[in-house]
Amino acid sequence: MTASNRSWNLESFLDSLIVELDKARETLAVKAINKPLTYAVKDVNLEMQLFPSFDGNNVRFITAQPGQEGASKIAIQLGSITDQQIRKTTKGPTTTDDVSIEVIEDIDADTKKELRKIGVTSVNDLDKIQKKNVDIEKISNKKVNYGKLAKLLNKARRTNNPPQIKNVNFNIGRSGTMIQVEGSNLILDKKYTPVAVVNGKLAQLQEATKDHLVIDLSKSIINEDNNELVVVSDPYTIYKVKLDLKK
Amino acid sequence: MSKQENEDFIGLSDFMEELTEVDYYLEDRFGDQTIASHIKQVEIESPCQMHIDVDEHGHVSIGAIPPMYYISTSFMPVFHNIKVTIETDTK
Repeated sequence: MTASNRSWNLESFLDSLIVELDKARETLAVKAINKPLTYAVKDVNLEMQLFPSFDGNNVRFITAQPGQEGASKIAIQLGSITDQQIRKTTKGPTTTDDVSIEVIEDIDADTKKELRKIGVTSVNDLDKIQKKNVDIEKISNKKVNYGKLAKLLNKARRTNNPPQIKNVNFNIGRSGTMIQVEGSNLILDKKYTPVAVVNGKLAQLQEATKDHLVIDLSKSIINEDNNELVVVSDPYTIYKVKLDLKK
Repeated sequence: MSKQENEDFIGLSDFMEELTEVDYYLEDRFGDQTIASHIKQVEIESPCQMHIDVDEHGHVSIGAIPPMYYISTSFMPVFHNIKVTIETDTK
């Protein structure tokens, strides 16, 4: 059910306008298969008589009706650009190791809107901004608190990339005793120092990367069976492994 | 994209397709010879009437037609303006 002359936002209108233009272009492209002389739509310039309104958050438009005077004029120009130009001027889609802010339920709609305004659509975008020491609170008129947001985003990113352990090796030798852990997403956030605990005793992490952990420990704390390794890799991730020396 | 509710209007894409119906050759004869020309580029600027539908999800569908009447009435319809440039498809 559609209603005529309801107000619309510019984004929906432009979406529809682009779809219409694409439709016309597609029809002409099909026509070009059979006809040697065909034409392409190069550009479209639309000037409309509208009344804008502002509800405190969004600007919406309504088309002028017969007899109404004093309408604003809005002109939209659509030109043609090549796919190469699109690639140069458009951000790529969110990658698998990144998280789009749209899908994070903990972030409220206002914050999402403020972030979109400054071009932040994913966790990686926010990281880039932080690296350049941008004062996000000032830009967003104190509506976005970086610390609070970063926590939510990192938590979401961690949920999307849980740690996976593929292999654990005990290495007991004269030079020392160590546990080697291999897997993926073991350590994601370099800002935190990971902590390893073996059988309730703090152990030293000699090496900690995304897919490899080397834990130094004293031989005396290892049991024949029922060993427990706990790794805290960041504030949102703890993993516990039961290890048995018996074959 | 929802279909136009108002039957007087056609989708904007149909409207633009109508404007591109210029795919013919202009022929002229000089004695035994025939010279053919074709249109390279057309710029069309026209007032148009528009009908914008919004469904319950906020999706917009745009209908457009050239002015239906050119008679002055006490309540004149609202005329928007559309300018389309079409050119020979060289691909």
